[in-house]
Formats: sequence, structure tokens, C-alpha cells
Amino acid sequence: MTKFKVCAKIHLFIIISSLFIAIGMAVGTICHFCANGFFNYGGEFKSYNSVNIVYYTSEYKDEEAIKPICDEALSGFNAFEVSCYSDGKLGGEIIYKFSAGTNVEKLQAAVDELNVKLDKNNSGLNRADVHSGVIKEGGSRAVTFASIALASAAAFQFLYFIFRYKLRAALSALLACVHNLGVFVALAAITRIPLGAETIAFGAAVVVLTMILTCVLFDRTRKNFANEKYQKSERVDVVDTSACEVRTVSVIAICALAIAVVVFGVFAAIAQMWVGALAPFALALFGLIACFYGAVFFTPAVHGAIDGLCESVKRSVKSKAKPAKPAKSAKENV
Amino acid sequence: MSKAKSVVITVILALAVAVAAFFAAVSFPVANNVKRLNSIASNIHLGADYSGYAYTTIYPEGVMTAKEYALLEADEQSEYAPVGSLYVNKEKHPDAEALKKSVAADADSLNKRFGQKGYSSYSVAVEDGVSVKISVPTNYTYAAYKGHDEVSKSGSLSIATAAISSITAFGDLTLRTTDASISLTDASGNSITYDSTKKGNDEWVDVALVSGDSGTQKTYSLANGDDAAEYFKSITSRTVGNTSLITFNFTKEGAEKFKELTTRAVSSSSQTIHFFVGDRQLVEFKCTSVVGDKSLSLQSSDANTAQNAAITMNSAVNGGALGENYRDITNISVSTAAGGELAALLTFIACILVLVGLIALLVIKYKKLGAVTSFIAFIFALVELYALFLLEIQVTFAVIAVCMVLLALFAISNAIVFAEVKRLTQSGRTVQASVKEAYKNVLMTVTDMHIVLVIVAILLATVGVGEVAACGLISVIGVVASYVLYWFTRFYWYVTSSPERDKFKFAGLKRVVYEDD
Repeated sequence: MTKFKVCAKIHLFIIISSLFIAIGMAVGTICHFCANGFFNYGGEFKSYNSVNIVYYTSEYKDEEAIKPICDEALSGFNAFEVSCYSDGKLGGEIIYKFSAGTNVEKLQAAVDELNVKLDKNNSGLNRADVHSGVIKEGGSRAVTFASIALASAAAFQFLYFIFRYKLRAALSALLACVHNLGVFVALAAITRIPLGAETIAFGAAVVVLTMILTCVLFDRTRKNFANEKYQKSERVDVVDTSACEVRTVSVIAICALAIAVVVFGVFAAIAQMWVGALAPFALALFGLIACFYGAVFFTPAVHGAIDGLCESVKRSVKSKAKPAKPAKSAKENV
Repeated sequence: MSKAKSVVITVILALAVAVAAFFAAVSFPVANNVKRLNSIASNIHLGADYSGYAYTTIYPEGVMTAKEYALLEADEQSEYAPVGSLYVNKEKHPDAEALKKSVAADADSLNKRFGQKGYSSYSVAVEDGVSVKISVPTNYTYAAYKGHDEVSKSGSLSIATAAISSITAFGDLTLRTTDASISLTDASGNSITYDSTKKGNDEWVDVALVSGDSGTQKTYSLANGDDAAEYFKSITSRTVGNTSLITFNFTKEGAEKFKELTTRAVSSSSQTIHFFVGDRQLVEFKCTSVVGDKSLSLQSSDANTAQNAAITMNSAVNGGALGENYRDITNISVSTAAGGELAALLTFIACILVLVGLIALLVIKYKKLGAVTSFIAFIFALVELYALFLLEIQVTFAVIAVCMVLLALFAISNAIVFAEVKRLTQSGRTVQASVKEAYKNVLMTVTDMHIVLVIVAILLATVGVGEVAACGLISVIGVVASYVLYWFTRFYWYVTSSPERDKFKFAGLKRVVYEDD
């Protein structure tokens, strides 16, 4: 692993990343027109059919008394969300949400049967109704402001890196942020994981983690450039060496975070007793995968390439400028 | 540093941390089980995943549920037509499709209004085409959710209820008074009274405005819906410290009109102008001086009231007034946690497990030095927990994920310096010399990292809304805490390692032995 020279594989990484992001965009665009949107929006953004069951404590003392009957009656329709509401005194409501494509006629038939079971005393108090709901697209304001905040953050990082490191490092850092966010978005689009409100915050976390890891890499690179030991080495090799030196820290940090996400995911699945609860955790893992690939492979390779490009431009400018100052060269020769 | 000093500092610090950790995690009954002292962790506000939603469905007048329909007499039932699972009065709404369009437009307006509240998650849905269902997070603490803190529970619920009630106000913005001396006059010199033909105003005379006998009180219109939209550019709210303000920004015409109104109001007996959206009074303005500025700021009782009123009035003057007249909200229900009944508890356990995992990793890799760093990492976790409580940040999974990234930042900062110490000791230096040199070498790396992140966090906290802003806010605290505790680790390393004879062993490092020539 340590001998693996990432800078030499720049073309490979660019191809992989571009291909990956392009596939993500293509899948998203196709789904935008043919399926349920660019991303697979989760339950909180989806249109739905629902069965609302109202009950009174006079006949069913709490939700535990009525829920098994409802679960049994509606088990064939795969509810993606079950919410229990209660006023704490008179009774409550249980709402089962199904995807908009559910066969409403069959659902209505099941609900009619359920109503017969629920209204055992012919009181008419406990009853279930089928509703269809269209969720209004929310979160666009949050996305807009988060995008402005992240763009400003990336711009600030760019300026700060110009000041603290060099323009080439600033460019690499900016590219790293865009790349990692792009891979994250592409993964979300390709895998069709249901997205929730937390997705925007995950995007921000990807950018923050990328910034931490780029800071570590560029600082090491700068130190190695200044180190006498590497004065005679090729600049690309120094970037490679630096990437190797910080790789352990990056890998351990990302793996530790991934383990943390898995732990949280397992506990969330236990809490809900439902595998679907893992969706946000899978999304967080995608963010970490994007950061891992970016930090270990893409960013050092791009930094090496940009640095090499800048150096060759610098050299060619110098070589062109040399004939214009013959007197100085002569003096130097003396 | 002597061993005695080292022990004293360690004991004092350990005691302080133990006390802080105890109050952070343990809840217990006090005063003979009469009261309960809830832990800091159980007093942190939770998102919908961990504490559930408050929801209500609003129905336009003339629309009823199947249950209400079933209670009607047969001849009354014949006046209604089914639309989905709801029933629509045919006389009131002869065109069901027009009603559906109108409700859909209102739902869009409501969606925009609730979007400005900065909730971590919320939803506005049109159900059966003719009703609107609104869900917002309850924002309960764990203690409130579990019924251990009824005061906090009713407080959170009343905030959610007030938001739903206020933001769903339908109709136009109107300015009214019951004081004839303030009222405007028409060309003939007669006071302009309330215009009952305006939408949303038909129950106006029943609203208790000034005194109990408002039903007989004559009311005067100062600006009806159309006028108000021309008078106000925008209505905003802001809160600084404990002061919450609603700011009305006037158009040129509005500024002149308001000057005229306030000139009359100042010399009147009541001096009061009421701001209504539909039938709901949102602001009452006691006018003691003439307002001739381009804007007017009024103090509100609290941040939520100010925000709710500003959002609703701003929407009403900017084309977002709800077109339908809706029935009063009779019931707001509260759900169980969306992530499951045990979601909050299990997440807390998962947080502890992750922290234990980090501690184990540090101890295995850096031996006693790892234990020292673990202790500081524990302090870092406590700082984040107390910050979540004190800043009343609503905890969602995204906020927890950001807290984990911040913990990683702290660990990475220390890992960088430990790696540098290891490198320097391998070149033959003593541990003390290596530590001194290593902290000097990595100073700029760690500082750069923290500077960039604190600015990013400030940007997220100030520009972002809802969950992103919450993540930004906790990041600001986390990054600052990480940097301070990074240096504290350096100090504590010095405190604990000073009495140790074998400092290489303390830091889990191998001494490099050079053979003599």
C-alpha cells in the first residue's frame, strides 16, 4: 500500500471518478423523467396512500390492544411508515403509509374487513379510512441555503489555502470538495437509497471531512517540500510520499467513523425492528466512501498533477524569459 | 513536576469530570420522590426521529370526515358528495375540482410558510385533494417524551401547537381598530367600517378585541387585504438576546398611510391598532408616537410568537394568503418517535459504545498516553453534550453524525502530533524533547485545520437553516473545544508523564538504542 504511487495513476482516477459521476447523473436524470425523481426521496417526501385508524380507549385501552389487529389486516401491503398518535386520554390514531402505487381497491377491501373487526360493539367509534396524500415538496429552502453556505465555505477554504499554501493546493482542495460531494451525490442517485431530511447535513459533513483530510495532506506536502531530504526528489514523488505518510491517519479516521455509523445503524434497526431504518446510515457510509476514495486516491493524484503542471508552466515561462535577460545570466556564470 | 502535584491535579480534574458526567447521564428522584432531577442528556431537545411529530389536518368549511358524515341524518347526508374518504358540501362547493385546486394552492403557501420555521423536518400534504395535513417535530426532550418532565412536555407542545395555529391563519392581512377616532374617513367624511365581504373576515365581529362585548362593538377597517399588500414590502422577525422584534417594512405609500394612521392613533383614547390575518389577531400595536419611518419594529413576547406572526403576515402580503376558509383546528395529535420507541435510548447507548471504542483504540495504540488522551476525549464528549443542552440544539441523526466527525477531528489532531513524536523519538531524541519539537512542528497543521473548520462551521450556522444550522452551531463549539482540548492534552501529558521514570513506556514508544562504534 505504501509503495503504491497514486500520482502516477492520475488518469485512472480521473476516468473512474468521471465515469462514476456521469453514471450517477445519467441514472438520476433517467429516473427524474421515468421514475420517482433524480433521487429516491424517502417517505417524508413521497406521495402516499394511507390508512388512518381512529380508536377510543373505551373499547381499546391503548395502541397495543388495537395495533396487532391492524397489522394483521394490512400486512400484505408493505407499509413504509407506521405512526402512532395519541391524545393520552380518549384514544388515538394509527396511520399506515403505503407507496402511491398501492392498489387502492384492494386496500379499501382490506380496510372494509378491518372496520368490521374493529367495530365489534357496533359503536361506530373505531374506524379505519383510506386516504391518498400528496406531499408538498419541502426542503428546497434548506437546500438553497445549505448550498450557499457550502459554496461560501469552499470559497473561503480556497482563499485561505492560497494564503497559507499555494494556488495549486487551493485548486486541489476545491477540486477535492467538488469531487467528494459529486461522488456522494452519484452514489445516492445510483443506489436509489431513500433520502431523508438529513441528506443535506450529510453533504455538509462530507465537505467538512474533506477539508480536514486535505489540510492534513497539504501540510505534510508543504513540510516535505521544505525538507532537505527531498530537495533532489521529483515534486510528484514528494506528493506521493506525503500521501503515503498521511494515509494511515486518513484511513483510521474514516474506518473509525464507518464503524461508528455501523454501530448507530444496528441500534437504529433494532429500535425500529425494520431494515429500512438503515437507509440514512447507508447514506452516511456513502459519504465516508466518497471521502475515503477522495482522500486516499483522488486528491493526492490531482494535487500531484496540478503541482506538476504548474511547475512545468513555471519552467517554460522561465526558459522563455531567460534570453530576454542575457546580461544577468552572464553575470551568474561569472 | 513532582508526583504529589501531578496526583493532586489529576484527582481534582477527575472529580470535576466525574461530577459533570454524573449530572450529564444520571436522572434521580429528589425530595422524597416528589420531584425528579433529570440528567443533562435527558434534557436535550430531540428531533422527530427520537421524539415524534405533532400533526393536524385542516379542512375547508363544508368538508367533513367520514366519521362526522356518519353522524349526520340521512337528509343532511344527501347534501354532501364524497371526495376520497372525505365529504364535501355540494352547496358550498359546487365545483369539487375548483376546491381541490384552491386547497393545493393553499398547501403550497403553507409549505413555504413552514419552510421558514427552520424545522429539522416537517411535512405539508394534501390528503384526498381537499384537506391539508401538517406535521412538525414535537421538539420534546427525552425526559418530556418519557413523561418525566410534564412542564417541558407541555411547553414544547404548546410551541408546536402555537406554530401550527398561527401559521395556518387564512385570509388577508387587515389592520383594524374599534376606536372611531382612529378610523379613516371616506370622501363624504364617514368612518370606513369593517368590510365583511372580504374573504376571511366574516367572523370578525365575534372576535373579542378590546372588551367582552365585542359582538356589539363597531369595528373600523384601517387597511383591508388589498391595501395591506400595497402598504408592506415585507414583515420579518429577529431575536437578539431576550428581545424579539417584528419589523414591518413599508412601501412609500404604506409609510405615508401609516404616518396618517399613527397621527390619528396617538391622539385617540385607545391608541391601539390590531393586525389580523383572517380572523386571527397576530399583533396589537399601542401607538404612543407618530411613526414616520420606512419601517416599524414591535417587540413581541417571545421568539416563537414573533417568528410565527412575521411568517404568516409576510406570506399574506406577498401573495401567499390562503384562499379557503378553514374550520378551526380542534385537535393536534402527537406521534411516537419516528425512529421507534427506544430510538433515543439506543442512540445514546450507541454514542457511549463509540466513545468506548475510541478509548480502547487509543489505549491499545498509545498505552498510558492513550489513556490520558481518552480522558480528554471524554471531556470533549461532555463539552458537546452540555453545548447541545445549553444552546437548545435539536438532536437529529445528522447532528450526532457531525458530533462524531468532530470527535474524529480531535482524535486526528492528536494522532498527527503523536505520529510526529514517534518519528522524532526514532531519530534518537528524548521523549520530552520530541514532544516539544512535535507540537512545534504540527502547530500550523492543526491550527490551519481548526481555522478552516471554525469558519466553515460559522458559515453553516449563520447561512444554513434547520438541521444544517444546528450542525453548524454544534460544529463551532466542537471545533473550538477540539483546539482548546488539543492543547490541554499537551498540558495533561506533561502533568501525568512528569513523575514517570520511563517516558518511552508511558507513551508506548520504543527507545532507539545506537550501538557504540
